[in-house]
Formats: sequence, structure tokens, C-alpha cells
Amino acid sequence: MGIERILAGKNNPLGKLAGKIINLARSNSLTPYIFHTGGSNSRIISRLEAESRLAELGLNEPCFSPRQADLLIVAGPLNTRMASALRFVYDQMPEPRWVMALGDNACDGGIYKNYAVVEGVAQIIPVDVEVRGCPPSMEDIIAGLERLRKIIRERNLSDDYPPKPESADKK
Amino acid sequence: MNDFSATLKKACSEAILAEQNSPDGIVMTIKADKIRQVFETLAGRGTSDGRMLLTDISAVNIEENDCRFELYYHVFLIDLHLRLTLKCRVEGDKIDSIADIMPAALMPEREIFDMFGLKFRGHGNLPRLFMHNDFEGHPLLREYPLMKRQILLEQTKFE
Amino acid sequence: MSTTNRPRDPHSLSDDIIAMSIGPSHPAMRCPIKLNAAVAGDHITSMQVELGFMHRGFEKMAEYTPYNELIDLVDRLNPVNSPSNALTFVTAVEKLMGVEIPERIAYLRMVFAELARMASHFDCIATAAIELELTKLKLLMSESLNVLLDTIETHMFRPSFGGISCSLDDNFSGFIRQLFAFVSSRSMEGRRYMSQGGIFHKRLAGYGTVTSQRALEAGFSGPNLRASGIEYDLRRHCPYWLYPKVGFQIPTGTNGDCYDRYVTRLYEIEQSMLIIEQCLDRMARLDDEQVACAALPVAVKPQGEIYFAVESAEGELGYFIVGRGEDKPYRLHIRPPGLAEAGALADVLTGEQMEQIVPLMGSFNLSGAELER
Repeated sequence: MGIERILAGKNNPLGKLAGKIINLARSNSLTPYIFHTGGSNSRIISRLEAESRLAELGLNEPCFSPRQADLLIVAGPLNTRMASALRFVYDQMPEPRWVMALGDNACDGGIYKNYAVVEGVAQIIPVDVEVRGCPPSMEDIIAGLERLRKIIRERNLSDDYPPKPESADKK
Repeated sequence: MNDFSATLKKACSEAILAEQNSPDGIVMTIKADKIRQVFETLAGRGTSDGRMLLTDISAVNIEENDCRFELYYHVFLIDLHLRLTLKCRVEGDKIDSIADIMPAALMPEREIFDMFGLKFRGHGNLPRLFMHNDFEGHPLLREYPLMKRQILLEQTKFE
Repeated sequence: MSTTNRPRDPHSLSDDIIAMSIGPSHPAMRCPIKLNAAVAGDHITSMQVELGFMHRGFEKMAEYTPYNELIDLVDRLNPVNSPSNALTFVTAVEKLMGVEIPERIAYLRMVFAELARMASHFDCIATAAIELELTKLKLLMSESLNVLLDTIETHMFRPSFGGISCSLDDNFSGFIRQLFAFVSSRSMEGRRYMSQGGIFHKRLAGYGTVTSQRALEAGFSGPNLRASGIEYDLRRHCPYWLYPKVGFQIPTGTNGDCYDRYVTRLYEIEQSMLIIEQCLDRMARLDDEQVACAALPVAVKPQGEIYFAVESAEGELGYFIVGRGEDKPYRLHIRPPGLAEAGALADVLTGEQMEQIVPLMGSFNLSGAELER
């Protein structure tokens, strides 16, 4: 509707308050899309779901299309062939979007130091939160989600709307 | 066990070079260009007592002057409870495919081509199995460096 | 894609053929696999299966890794059924070195292998139940799965060359009996849900039929082959550890369809429980002066080659090791249980409806990263 854009441009307490509320809402309603790469971590999110603990961690039910997601969780080592599929999925996600790399293998290749595994998801797409561990424990994952939510809450609303160049049309 | 190996030796005598016993069965060394003859004999033994399962084909890249690869065909003869391993040394980089006799060989042969570069004549379609089509080289050869990555950057086609 | 504007006949399946790609990142599939399908209406007219999205270069990496470290790395290949890989690898190296393991160790290995088999089968049926939206069946299977995985984890099981290390207390048998009371009540109730005439049966029976001749030719193994009627179980036909000393039945199916494959797995769970109980009884009757671990040569440097296969939950899992007297293998090749089934997948799925893809694929239980190492 354009209200967010107007508020983002204003550097006054109203704009900042609006930014805080919007980012708080975003951090408590993340819709994850779990990118399975055949690793051992994919069960963990479904186990959280089975124990009905998603809401307290700020997550909605995982969605089945990247076009509806705002959090991409890459769990497991990334193949050189899967890398292009990952880029394709990431490009379909609408802004604002965040990426979490789950496990040592996703963060930097982990134990797979060979020709077939990409050295970290960060070589393909920008990563916001890395959760280390092989495999990471439940506490590590929850701590990682907390770090991500803190990052989201501390954003400025104006990050979403970078200033337009002079030659663009004004609407 | 002895009857079976005797019958097989009689049927393909010029193909079998050596035979030894292993804990689970028999290991036979055969000539690489006679592999189809051996499998046709094995497959033609009928279904009443000749059921067999080709479980796997393994390849080893040995660095010797006369041959580069050694292939192992692992066959299990269900009715005789016998594991038969057929070993052959491949000179050059081509060998006959047995995929039309035993469809179970389709995937292992593709994998061996992908990983080693050993071509199977008569396989039909021999595309790479695991690595993407733009990958140059064959990873499991001893001379391929461990860390040489070739990331597929173009988008996968969705047609 | 066809862009005709003519009015469509509502009674005919659409004759426009759409090229559709399913995967590789698909939430309902168990592992990344790409299916390039040509779909008319919702029937698949032709299909190609593309693999390679889970390939991790494991076999090449193994040529640079000492044997002791490989035991831990091999676990990662199969998340749910991880004990089977480590146990098979360890036994293959022991056979290559000619080492005999003591009886107690063999029984313990059998116990953990069967626990892993039960977990894998529960996982397979649970995934099917999620897809078919049978919530109660999914709950029964998932609870059993979680309890079994917790058991394997809390006992900190890790095989080693010549032995096994796990933390068992004296009351392990009692613990297992309680566990089985929990699990068998759920599998009995699951049997009721999966019985003939129920939704599970009506949805899956008659689809994805693989005849016994075709299954044998294609190289199937494990429950996929037994569901087609061929009684081939490595534990009976090519035994290892101490399987000849325990008695169990080999469930086989009749039609080789999707339903038979799931039901064979359910019956195998019950047989596994029988095997574990017999192993625990025999372990209790062993002499107290049993050796804890086999006598190993000083360093693990096997020479020679060996192919050793076990009956894993998904099929025949084989390890082919070539050693040249060094502390790293010259060649390590793993025969994955699902590769033959992945090769036959295109034929099985052609002609089926789109809704049947996930249960049909799930019925083959393609085993994760092990498929492509």
C-alpha cells in the first residue's frame, strides 16, 4: 500500500516505532522452507513440529513453496549439482528473506572436503545465521533461531527500501 | 558348488582363466572380452534352479602398465546359496555391456562410466549418473585431484 | 506446453502433455531426486529420473582417510539406519583381516542392527501415513520410531574393529522388554489400520506392481524383492554374525505392489523383535569369562579384497574393500541398497497418477545419501 515505504523514509519516532513493530511481527511469524539435501538434520524440524514447539520459537508451519517462505533452512551438505537448485529456490523467495545454514556441512563443507561438496552455502547465497554442530543439537538450533530473531528485530525498516536513484520515476 | 563350477567351466572354457574359493562362494577370473558369453550362459540356466541376482559391479583403477581397470561382477545364485564373483582386467577403456542380458547392470555401468570413464559398448544411452553433464574428467580416477571442484552455475533446466 | 483455446471435454483426460519437473528440492520426497515427467491430465506418460543431488564424493574421500576414522564417517550416509553402515564396514574389514569376533560381540551387533531395521521400517510407514493423511497411523509409527532412535542414541553405540562399545547397564533386557511392549502394541494397532479393506489398502493395492521376474532382473533386494514373492534374505542365505543360531521367518508378499511392500516391512518389524529377544536370551546364557573384544593385529592394515554384504533395512548393503597393506583403503565401494530401485523407478511410475508418486517412491525406501554416497 505504500505506507511502509512512507514510514521508512521518515526518520522520526513514528517511523522508528513502526519499524520496531513490523520487525517484531516478522520475527515471530517466520515461515520456514526446509531445503533437504539428504543430510541427517531434516528430522529435527519435523520433530519440533511433532512436539508442537514451533510457535514458541517464532516459526509457522513449514510451507511447501519458496514463494511463500521467508526463512530458508539449508540442512546438510550442498552438492555441486544441488547448488544451482538452491540458487533457483532462493531467487524465488520474496523479500525480506533470511537464510539459515544448519550444520557444519552446510556452513563450510564440514567433513566433506572433496570435489563434490560446495564449501559452504555462503558461496551460493548470502547466509544470515550459521548453526554449527555435526549434527547440531536441539539446543544449538533453538539458539540459532534466537540469534536470527534478534537480527530481525534489530533491523531498520529503511533497509527494505533503499533510496531510489534520482532518475527513477516518482510515484 | 563343485558341480556348478564344473558346468560353467565346460560351457565357457576359454573364458575362465582362474578360480579360487572364497568364504561365501567362488571367485573366477575371466577374460574381459568374453564377459557376455559368461553372462549369457549364467542367464540361460532357467528359472527353476538358476535364479540369480546381479547385485553390483565394482571397478578399481589400478595403475599398471597393461591395464587400467579391474572389474568385479558380484552375482548371487539364489537357489544354490552361492556368491559368485567374476573378476576381469580391462585393457584400454572399453568393455562390452551386459545391460541387455541383465537389466540390473544398467545403473552400475552408468556409475562406473561417470566415475572412471570406462565406456560400455552397447549400453545404449550412457549418460553421467551423479556428476552434472558439464563436469570434465572422472572423479574416482587416481589422478583426479580430491579438491578440484566444478560447481554447476547455470540454472537447471526444467523442461 | 500447449496453448489451445478449444473448449475442453470434461470427460476426457486432457490430452495436452505438460513437461513437469518434480524436485530436486521437494518437501514431500524423502531425498533430493529429480523426476522429469511428461504429464497428461494427471497421468504420467513418461518419466526420467535424474540422480546426483546427494553425491558427496564419499568413495574418493575414503581413499584418503584411515580406517578408524572411516567408522565414524560411514554413519553419516544413512540418517535413520546408521548402525547398519558402521557395523557392515567393521565386519568387512575384520573378514579381510581374518579376525574372528567373540559370540557376545556378535549378538550385540545383531541386537543393534535389528533395532536400526525396526526404526527404518517405522520411518518408511510413517512417511506413507503422512502422505495419505492417516494421522493416527502416523502417530503410532512416529512414536515407535522416536523411542527406537532414542534407545540407539542413549546407549552410545559405536562399533570398533573386533568389538563394539556401548553403555549397557545390567537391566538392558528389562529395558528392551518394556520397549517392545510399547512398540508391539503400536505395530499391532498399525496392522489393524493397514489391513485389507481399509483406506491404506484401497489407496495402495494394485499400484506400482513389480513382478517377481522383473524384480529379480532389475536387481532389487530386501523388502522390495520379498514383496514380489522371492524369498531372498541374506541373513538366511548368506549368513553372517550369528544369524544361523536364531530362528525367524521371512515374510514375503504375493503381488509385488505398493501395499505389499509396506506390509512386508510391518511383518519384518515383528520378526526383528523375535530375533532381539533370542539374542538377549543367548547372551545371558553365555559364560562369564567371555572375551570382551577380539585380539586384533597391532595396526589395521588389511591386504586383499573382499565384498561383504548384509541385509540392511532397505536391501542388500554391500562393502567392497581393496586394501594394499596401508592404513587407508585403496578402494572403498559401497553397494547402495536403493540404486537398482532408482533405476527401475521410471518404469514403475509411468502410467500412474501424480498423487501416487510419493507413496510409490516411499514404498521403495530409497535410502538417503547412501544412494549416491
